[in-house]
Amino acid sequence: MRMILLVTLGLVLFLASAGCDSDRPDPKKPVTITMWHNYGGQMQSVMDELIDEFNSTVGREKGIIVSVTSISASKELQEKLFMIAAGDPGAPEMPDIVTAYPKTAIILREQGLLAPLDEQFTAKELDAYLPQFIEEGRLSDGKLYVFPIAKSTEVLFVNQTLFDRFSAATGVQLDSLSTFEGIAETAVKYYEWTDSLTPDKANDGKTFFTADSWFNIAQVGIAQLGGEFVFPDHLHVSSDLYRRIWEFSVLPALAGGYAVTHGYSSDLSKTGEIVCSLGSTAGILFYGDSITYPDNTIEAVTYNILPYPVFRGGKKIAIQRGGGMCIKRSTPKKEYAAALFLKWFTQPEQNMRFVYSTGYLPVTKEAFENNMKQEIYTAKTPNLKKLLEAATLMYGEYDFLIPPNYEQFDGLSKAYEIRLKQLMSLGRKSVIQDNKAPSIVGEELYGVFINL
Amino acid sequence: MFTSISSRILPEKIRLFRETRLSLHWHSFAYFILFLLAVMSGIFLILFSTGVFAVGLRECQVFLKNELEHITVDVTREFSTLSVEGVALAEHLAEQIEKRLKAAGVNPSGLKDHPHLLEPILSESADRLLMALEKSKSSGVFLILDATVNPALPTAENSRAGLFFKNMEPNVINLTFPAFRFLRGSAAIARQKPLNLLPQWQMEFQVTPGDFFFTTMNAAAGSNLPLSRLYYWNPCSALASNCEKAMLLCVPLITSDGTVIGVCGFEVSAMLFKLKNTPNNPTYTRAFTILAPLYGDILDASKAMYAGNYHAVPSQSGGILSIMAPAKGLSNYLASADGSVYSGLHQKINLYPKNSAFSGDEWVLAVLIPVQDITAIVRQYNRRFLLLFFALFIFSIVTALLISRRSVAPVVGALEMVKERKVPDNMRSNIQEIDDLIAFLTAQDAASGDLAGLSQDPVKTSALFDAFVNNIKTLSPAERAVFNLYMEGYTAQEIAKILCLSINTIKTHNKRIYTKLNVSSRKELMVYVRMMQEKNGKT
Repeated sequence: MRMILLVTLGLVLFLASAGCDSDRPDPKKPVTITMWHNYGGQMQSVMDELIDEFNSTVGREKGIIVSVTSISASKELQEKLFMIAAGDPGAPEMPDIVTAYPKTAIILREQGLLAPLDEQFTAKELDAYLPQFIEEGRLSDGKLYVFPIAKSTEVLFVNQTLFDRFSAATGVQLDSLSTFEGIAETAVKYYEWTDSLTPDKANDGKTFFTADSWFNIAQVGIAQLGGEFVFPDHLHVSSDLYRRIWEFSVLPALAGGYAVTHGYSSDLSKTGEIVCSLGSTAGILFYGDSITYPDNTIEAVTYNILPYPVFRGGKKIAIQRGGGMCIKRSTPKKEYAAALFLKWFTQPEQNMRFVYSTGYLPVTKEAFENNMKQEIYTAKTPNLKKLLEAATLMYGEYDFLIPPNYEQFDGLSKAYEIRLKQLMSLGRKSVIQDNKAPSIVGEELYGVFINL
Repeated sequence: MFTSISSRILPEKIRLFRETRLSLHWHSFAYFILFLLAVMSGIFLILFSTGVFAVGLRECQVFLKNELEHITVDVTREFSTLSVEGVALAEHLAEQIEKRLKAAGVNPSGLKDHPHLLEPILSESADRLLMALEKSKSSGVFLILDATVNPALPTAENSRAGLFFKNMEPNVINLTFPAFRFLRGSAAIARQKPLNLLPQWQMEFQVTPGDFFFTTMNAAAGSNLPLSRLYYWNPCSALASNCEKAMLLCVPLITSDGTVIGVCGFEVSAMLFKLKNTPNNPTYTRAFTILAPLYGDILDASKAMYAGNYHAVPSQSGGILSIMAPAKGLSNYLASADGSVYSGLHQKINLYPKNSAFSGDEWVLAVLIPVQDITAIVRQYNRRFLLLFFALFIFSIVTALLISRRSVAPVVGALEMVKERKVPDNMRSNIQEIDDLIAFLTAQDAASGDLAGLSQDPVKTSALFDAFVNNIKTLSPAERAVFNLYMEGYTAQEIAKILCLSINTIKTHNKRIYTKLNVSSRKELMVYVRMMQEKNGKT
């Protein structure tokens, strides 16, 4: 009799438990994880391949489906996330996994939209990642919200074909581009040389250099020189150290050696309007292997990728770029599933496949220490091979600057970029129209700039 | 061999079972269980006949039908709207370009010979294209002119000047900062707007015979059909390597003299189609929509648009889907690439109006699910039912055990007491038959006690016997007839038959006989009868 009662009780408990929802995904009832990322263009196919592989292997086994619902540039993604955080009308629904930067994550966390990731990873698991990447993703409460999946730094992209042509005519060597001062001098020489090719036309020299972020040059440059540039509520532009940044950034532009663009430097590179530029390693795929001229003739070119330049007498410091992935606060099941995908994606095997196809850098110690050198030999394109070589060298010799997460950081950097470009354009016009010396115009503009 | 053994063993087992003496409790339990089994079998049959076990399949059919219905409406509306907007755009652009050519003193047919006009024409058209992109629900807008900026290049034959603007976030309302990018066209125009170049940027379009450009141009050349009958929907493909797959609406640009000077239209990217038309159901997570060209019974999966979870999409790398014979209200589709089978429903969709130059092209919209997913869902439903049924069965067994035990407990208890002769005075079991039995047995015991006393005292016995014999004379004839038959050894049932009386009448006679003869039971009566017979035998 007792046995019968026990069996009955067991059965009732079994039936009751069958109706309960577990915190873990069930392969019979897969959970769908939506994802937004900014790995578009050529990076998209690699990302798609990896997501597809996850879905058909680990995902299928564990009951997780990762579904990408948006691929757009990081700027647009961040704007959408700000809309979500602000509850703007028309804002889309936040996905389960999204590419975000710490500064965006701060706002999302304040609205209670992010899940802390420490609970999803053991200490041993987190220890496998480069500590500075993990630390960058920790917010003010000490918890990890931005998980690194791929990072980038800035390097100098040099159109070797155009530079060789210039070098053959002027004797300027590539190593002159290892310092910011060398780049400034070379830019002015290039302008003068190209201008001299058409003696009948005045001021038609070509620009040599541009940067995707002049603000990064300022913050990294001053760090190289031992100072500090960004403060919570202002930028320290009146210092002697900044004066060197200004002279590098503005004077060659006034002399015609720099291009001032509102787009990416790779756009100018594709049309042969510059020879070298400072940009993210992840921009490598945008450069291509040719120049298209306005008459639709296409010239095949090769690129060289050099480590980040250093101000003379400065330390080797470069910026650490690239956001990470944030997980939306939702159900324990979805949070677990999203974290499982991130773990899988950042395992050295998967991470390196993504890295050697995109120009990003891996995030685990194992991948960095063991896989990078090996992958240099299997990189898909010569440009990627050169990029990995430069990145490996930099991670051996450079320190990396992590931008601060000040609330006003974005506003300050944006304002700096706009004002500097405006003055560069105005100054160049002034040099041409008023026939003034760049140094004089530069001095006038500096007075205007520090008082803005 | 097995049959012969079982045919020998089974009857033997049955015989042994029949001979097995079961307790009252197990008899009662067996009857309960038989009853419950009969009831449950009835319920099972009712559920089966009413199709309860096909609920999973029916729900799946309903889901597919509803999804197909509303997605078909949405897709038809979206594609029709874009077609109308594309025709309007083509009319406007053709007029604008013709004006520009006229101002330059060039006939439309002479566009190819004046490449210097291309950049100004494209630059002027850019604003109109961007406006159309902003208003439309598309992922891109393009304009291709049948001319190239540099006819002297060796690649000029397949190179065409034009513009292609992409909206990277077509599904997001963002009027302040639309995420437009530049895929094709002069970099100078991109900087005017200003727009960033996409990594796949090229200055001109590369066209090949038989592609969307030539298909549209050729259909329009020399045709008398209106523009609304000349647009073409190019099946899903990538514009160039590394470009996203998309369908293109291609509308010819026809000037007033009938010259076809190019093609313009909209793009519906694979991502946009996916975001808008993914079936929404948490049960069928791998359900997906497919919009594909139809050739007989074959869907061209390699040129199809998909909306659903990525890894469930069949034949990403190509192949076809063959429509198989319908079964259980659903059609099955066999993927040639990997042999996988999908179940679902499909419906033809009209991308073109009647009399269109492309009205022979058939398109199908289908909502499909991997067949194993449907099987799993149906099984899951049925498993739930069977589990519930099993639980009910176990519950019934336990209940039958408890009830049977409880119901026979008083009987068993009373019997135990009777066996042990521990029946208390005035015992009441609340079961009439038990109480009667106990009363009967008690009376019998009392009579037995009297008879026992009778046999031990000869004087008393003789006196009682004499009284008995004398009392016989007081019996009525009817009672005497009954009594005589008792004397002859007949039972009450037999006497009723012989005298053609009911058993109740016999019982009434018995009561009177007992009263008149002063006996308390049949047993006592029979003692006197035996004594009479012995006496008669001696005499």
